[in-house]
Amino acid sequence: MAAQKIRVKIRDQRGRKDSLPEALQIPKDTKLGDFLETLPLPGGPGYYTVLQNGRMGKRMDILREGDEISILPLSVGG
Amino acid sequence: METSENKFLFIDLTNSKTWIEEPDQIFCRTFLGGRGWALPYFLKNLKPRTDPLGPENILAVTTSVISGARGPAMPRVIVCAKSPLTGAFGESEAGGYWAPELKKAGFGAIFVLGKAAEPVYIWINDGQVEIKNASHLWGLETGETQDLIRSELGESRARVLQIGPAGENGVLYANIVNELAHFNGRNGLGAVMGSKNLKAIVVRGKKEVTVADPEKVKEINSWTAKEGLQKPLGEILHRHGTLPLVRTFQEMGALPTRNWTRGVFQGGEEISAENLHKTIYIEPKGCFSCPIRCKRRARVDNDDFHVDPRFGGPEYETIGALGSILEISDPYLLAKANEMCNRYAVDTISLGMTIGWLMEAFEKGLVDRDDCDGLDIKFGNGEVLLPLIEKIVFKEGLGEKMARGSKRLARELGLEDQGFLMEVKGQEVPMHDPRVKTGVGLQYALSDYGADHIVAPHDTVFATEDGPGIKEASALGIFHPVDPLSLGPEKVRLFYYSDLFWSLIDMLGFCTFGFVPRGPIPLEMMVDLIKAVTGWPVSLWELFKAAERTIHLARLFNIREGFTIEDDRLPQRFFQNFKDGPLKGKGGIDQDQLKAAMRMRYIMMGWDPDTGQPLPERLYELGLGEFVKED
Repeated sequence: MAAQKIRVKIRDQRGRKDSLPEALQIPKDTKLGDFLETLPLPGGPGYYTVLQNGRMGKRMDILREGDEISILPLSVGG
Repeated sequence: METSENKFLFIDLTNSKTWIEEPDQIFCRTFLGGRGWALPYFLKNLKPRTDPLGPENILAVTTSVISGARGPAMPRVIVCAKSPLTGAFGESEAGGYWAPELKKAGFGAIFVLGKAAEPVYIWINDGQVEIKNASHLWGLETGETQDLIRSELGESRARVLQIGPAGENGVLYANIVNELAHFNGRNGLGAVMGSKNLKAIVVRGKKEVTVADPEKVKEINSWTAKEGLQKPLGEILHRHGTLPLVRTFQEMGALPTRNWTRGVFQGGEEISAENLHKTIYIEPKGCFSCPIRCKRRARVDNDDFHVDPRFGGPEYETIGALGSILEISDPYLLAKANEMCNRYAVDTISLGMTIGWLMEAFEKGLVDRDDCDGLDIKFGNGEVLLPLIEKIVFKEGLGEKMARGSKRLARELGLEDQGFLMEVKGQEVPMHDPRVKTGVGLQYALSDYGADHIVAPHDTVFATEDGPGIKEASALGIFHPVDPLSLGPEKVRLFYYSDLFWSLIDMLGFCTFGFVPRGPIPLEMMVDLIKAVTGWPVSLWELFKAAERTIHLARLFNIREGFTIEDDRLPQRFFQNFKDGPLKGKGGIDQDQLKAAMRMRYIMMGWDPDTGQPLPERLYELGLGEFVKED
């Protein structure tokens, strides 16, 4: 039996031309951290601020159908 | 390697005397530059409780042992004096072109003493020093001043470090500026320069500075231009400067808004990096020899405003302090306000925050239109912004009180205890909310020159295994992520090390945007760069020790001035939860946890945990025995 899939929305707010797709189908029970690893983010996910449904995302959290993941530049200061 | 460009030039403006002292190599290597050069001199020659705006204050305008070499991210001029805003040790760094030029003219630092009888400027031309009359320049904006000086000297490439009308008029948060767009902001050091009747220090140097291994320096610069700019932090700084923070904080719910009463700004989209690039920005500009080129420039030419790009463009701090703090979102108005502040050379953070405090007082009915020169000083009322800048800089009406900063303004209006003053040691807090990065709060509280956002890299870069702090700055010895919201021992340790690192960057005249974890250049490469310029076999350990010395000396300076652990604190509002947005009902910093963290930090520093005073043993360990006070 094929693995169940869910759909997550992506809000790419990095201001780049090569932006991420607006939504992706991913396997059910995927953790946020694992999902981020699959995205083509230069440097890796640690260089970005990641919000899950408008709140700071935790890497171990399981993604749900319809979750909205925002990718923003890291809040580095200065 | 013994270099001759580290000579100290002393200028006593009271009697127009100049003399040169040449520090030996051991002093230069022990204290490196910047505040490392200024503080030992201050502690020996500046009397405690000196009036910061009196002739006895000393203005140190310094470079470092590496300034002037053609490396990346090392352009900064470091200015130190007793601050008129805080009454504590004052320090500020600015990029641009002036510091390398001073080194090329043959000097490492200038110590300005006394006060001239009439306005003057100092002209340093390839080692020759002249004090020239500046009566005709007094009162002019910075652009006119630079043009006139270059014209009368016949030197179109003379580098002009100057004050504007704000410094002349004693605004306690006046800046010093070079090349019209690179500011020694915060701390009001422009007012110190103005109090000495010193309009400008102009330099021209044609000699290349001595570099031990020029090929290595060139190699590191090439790496930064090619590979460094491909790295995420380098790339984003080059493309957007600091502006992406607006959207990031807005989305998180931590964009300082309405004098910090809200974390989300309705007009946030209008002041986002993307919109500002569409509306006001033109191509970026950089500093001496640096390929990152992160400085924004604004140009506006519409029916309402004309904004000249020579004066730079608003960066994140200004957009926050004049924009979201005041709930003003018109990018053209913000560009004009920034240009005016820059023409007058006044600090946009303190200015915006002082207006923000007044707006909250107005909205609460604590002051009315009669108190405010008939102005309707409400949040979101952009019509008052430009008139208030004029009033403050020229000390007209209420501007006289506002020119002294929010703390003094509140005190003079009898409103100091209302709970919405946002300052530490008298300096207004910058646009980073410690409720989402507690280490920044620790540094706001502890910083020797009041709340400042560039005294350590921020918590967020150390938040995950794959973030830049852990992945790229492992030479700091922090191998595991630290929760941005914690105030535990691991956070205290992280910010102890980070404080050392950023102090080192500051004293060397490096730019924080150049180096990991804030910029692209690795720590190891930074050490190689210092070795290549100086020829000294320095280690990161030795360099951190030099930085640590300056933190202790600044602490000793402030203790002399009457500061105690009671001054290491945060504004009350940061102990309250956010009231809106995604963080509603969360975030308030636990006061007991902060107190415990501060106590632990004192102990890690080798300071008495009950008094915050450096212990004699620690001073001896740092080679600072001459500063131990005998009882």
